[in-house]
Amino acid sequence: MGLVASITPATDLTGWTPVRVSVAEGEPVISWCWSDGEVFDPPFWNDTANRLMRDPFRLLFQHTGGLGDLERHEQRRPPLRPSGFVYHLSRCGSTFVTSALASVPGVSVLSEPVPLDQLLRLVADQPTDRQALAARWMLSALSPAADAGDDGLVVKLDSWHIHLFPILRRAYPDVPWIFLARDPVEVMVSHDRQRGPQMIPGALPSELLRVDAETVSLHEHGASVLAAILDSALFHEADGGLLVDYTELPEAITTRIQPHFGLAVIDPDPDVLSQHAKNPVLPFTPDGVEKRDGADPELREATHRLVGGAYSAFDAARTRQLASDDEFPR
Amino acid sequence: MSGTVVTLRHATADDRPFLEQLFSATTRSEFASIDPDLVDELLAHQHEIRLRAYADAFDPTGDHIIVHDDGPVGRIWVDSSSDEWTLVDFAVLPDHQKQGIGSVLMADLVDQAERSEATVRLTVRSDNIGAQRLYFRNGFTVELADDVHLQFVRRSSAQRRERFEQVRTRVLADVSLQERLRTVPADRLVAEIIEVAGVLGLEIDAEDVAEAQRTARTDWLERWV
Repeated sequence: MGLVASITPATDLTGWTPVRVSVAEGEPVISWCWSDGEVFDPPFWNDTANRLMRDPFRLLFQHTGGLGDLERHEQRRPPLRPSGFVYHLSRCGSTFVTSALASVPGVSVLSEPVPLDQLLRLVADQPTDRQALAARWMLSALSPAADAGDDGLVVKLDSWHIHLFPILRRAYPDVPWIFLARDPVEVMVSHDRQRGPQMIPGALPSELLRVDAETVSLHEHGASVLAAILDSALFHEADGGLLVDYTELPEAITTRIQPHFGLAVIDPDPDVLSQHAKNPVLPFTPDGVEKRDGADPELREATHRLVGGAYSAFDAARTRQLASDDEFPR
Repeated sequence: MSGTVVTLRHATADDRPFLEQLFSATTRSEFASIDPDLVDELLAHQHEIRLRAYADAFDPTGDHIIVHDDGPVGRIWVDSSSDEWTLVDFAVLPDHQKQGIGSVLMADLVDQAERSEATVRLTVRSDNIGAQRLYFRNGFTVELADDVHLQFVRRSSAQRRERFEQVRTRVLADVSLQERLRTVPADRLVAEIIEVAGVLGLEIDAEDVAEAQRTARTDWLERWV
């Protein structure tokens, strides 16, 4: 590996943030970047990391070390505890939700932090307790310090992380979570325009996505990925999950999500609500009808066949939650 | 130059007349201020001295004749008997220069040195601008200079990374050095790193930093999903 040096136990990593995880001799190697005073704003954590890494000092002088550094860092610098986790189907308004939550003063957001995903995948063969510890240490290092002035921290995960729910639940047993979904045809159409890695066969391990590696077509692969995500969400729903659909946005941010996370119910910045979540230069325009109407027939058929049942089950469970007095299960 | 085909064969005793001709053709201009009647004799004498000096100092198995269109057109002698290689002699007859022969052979030498993680050194006259351009293009830097000669060095990418790594480790162990490097303007950073390395008793040059930066950039982009 190119630039690896061990960190001595005495190294104080205050002001540094883990930015990548690789592997050397079977062990995770965590690269830390100098980030003091930087905020990893939405829409995506990696956008900020990329920006920081354009600075030559940060690129050249990365600390590298093992899991022990994460553990020591947590002890040395107590982190802000997560207020809630956002699991999602992808392309369903989750970036919009996290950006809106982050627009409320005092709320920080970690949006799909890459090192957490990399570490979770690297320790996947270890006992659940060990995986949970690794996840907590990493999230602690990625989070603002407890005394940094924020009251809330929302962590948006990658869509496939719902399959790793037991690990994160073990790490944070009391932290509320939501699962966001959307009409899968609309999700599929969005991925047809620009695919996430999970929708490209072979880009992510099929075991991670819980799909059959032998899936025939691109659309069948994508639909199977979405079906597996919905199945996992429904399997874990009873363990404190709030189910939210894209059609409930943006009202559900203040009526359901903020209360569920225990955050102060404050209207998000109207500018954020009116702009495209992933490209703030563009205005937000509802595109569900356009996406459904423009769907390729083969895409539509594969989606109905492979995800239709799972999405109907999601919608039924969500409707039950809405009708229930116990709106905010923990 | 693409399409230039040259081959190499080991130099033998039979090549001595050609080597004398090559030496004369490529160094005659250095004797422009000498009485023309004496130049041939002087060149022969100089060549004899050089042959003896080379034979005593360098591995003769690296001495090759450059062959182009079935005829000898030059010589390349690389002593690669240790990790520190020396380009002992590299000359092409004036009539065959500027045809890409030097570029082809230099690219090959650089490729072999990279694979062997070897450092290559050479000495060139300070007025031989064409040769210096070739060496600069192939990643050599000037290590030493006097009025007459420049000593060039080219370290392998692995060596350059290792040299930078020593600096990086020391800097990351010293908060005040980190602060110093963080606060310099971006366009001054490389010079400041070299200065800091000097303070730490480590030797590093701009190419070492550039190589470390390339590697770090590649690592960063590859370790994505």
